[in-house]
Amino acid sequence: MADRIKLSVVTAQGDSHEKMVSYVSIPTEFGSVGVLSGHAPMLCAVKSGVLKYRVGENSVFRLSVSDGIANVADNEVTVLVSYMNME
Amino acid sequence: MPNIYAIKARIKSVESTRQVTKSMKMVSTAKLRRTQYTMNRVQPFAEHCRRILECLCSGGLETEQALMQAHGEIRQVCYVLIVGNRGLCGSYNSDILRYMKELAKREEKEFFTVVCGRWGEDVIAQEGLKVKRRFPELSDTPERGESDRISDYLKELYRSGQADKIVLVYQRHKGMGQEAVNEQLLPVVPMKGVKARDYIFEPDRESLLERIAGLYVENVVFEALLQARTGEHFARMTAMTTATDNTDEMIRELTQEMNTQRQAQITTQISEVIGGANALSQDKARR
Repeated sequence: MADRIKLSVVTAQGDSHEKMVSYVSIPTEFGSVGVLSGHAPMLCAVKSGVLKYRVGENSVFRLSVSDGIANVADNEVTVLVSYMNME
Repeated sequence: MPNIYAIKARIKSVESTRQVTKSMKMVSTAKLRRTQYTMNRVQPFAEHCRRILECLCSGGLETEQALMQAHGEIRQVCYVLIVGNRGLCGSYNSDILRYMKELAKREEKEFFTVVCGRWGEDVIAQEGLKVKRRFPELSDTPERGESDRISDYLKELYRSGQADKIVLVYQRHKGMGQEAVNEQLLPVVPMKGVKARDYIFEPDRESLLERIAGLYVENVVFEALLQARTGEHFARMTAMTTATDNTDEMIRELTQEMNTQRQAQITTQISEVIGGANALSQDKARR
């Protein structure tokens, strides 16, 4: 699957992590929310946990994130959190 | 007429002043850069926050959110005055204080102020502004934790009804100078004119608004603090550059005066010697 989603994880301190990905899984109160390209516009509350994203076919990466909010629109996933840590 | 030694001593003291002003300028430049760097780093987060708030407010739906709901009647207005941490920065502090006084004069409701910054505890008290709380322990390059402390306090003021409107008053750094501005912080004014889109809200709009409103307020306070500090460092840098230039000019003038004095002294000595020699030769000729 082509990497069509622009994922940006931005923290309040100014750290940011940007990547073109094919799939994002966002941790929320009610479990993970998966986002593929062409997803409908969505705003969701992020719960602290592990955010997973896939680049290309198989490589899966993980990011630990704190509470925040995610905005999904036009193949862009913007996650605003207080802290993040690359696993 | 002052003697050469006095002028020399004067030059020495001006030179040491110059050293101080020059180092202060360099310190301000470094702090200015650091503050600007932080500002550039936090801007994307603030921008995304604003965009999400716009999305949530699109369609102009009513909200139950405490931070976004205007209180029925405005009885108490809170002005958050951001001043510098110290003086020696030209008219930076007095300008913002003058602006605050004008605002206070025009304010029809009852008001109080919350002062952020170390400068002018006595000056502000003299102006007759009612200060509810001071935050003097802010660093020169603000950090998120410090600004969060202020925003938590302000949010609590609004939630508890001690203030019905909170306004930030600070100097925004603009081009080569500063501009005093006042910005309403609370209640959060929903952005208007944004086209409504069909968004999915997970879990629901209200809880998302609660999260983003808090984040938004924290960001606005942090940005205002950074802007104010950038302005302060810039003002101090400019003031110290002018001071260094003035000392250069002073040293030049003093050196010239010293040289004139020295030359006059030499001329007097030479004429004395010549006069003495002439007198001797005339005396010899007479004999």
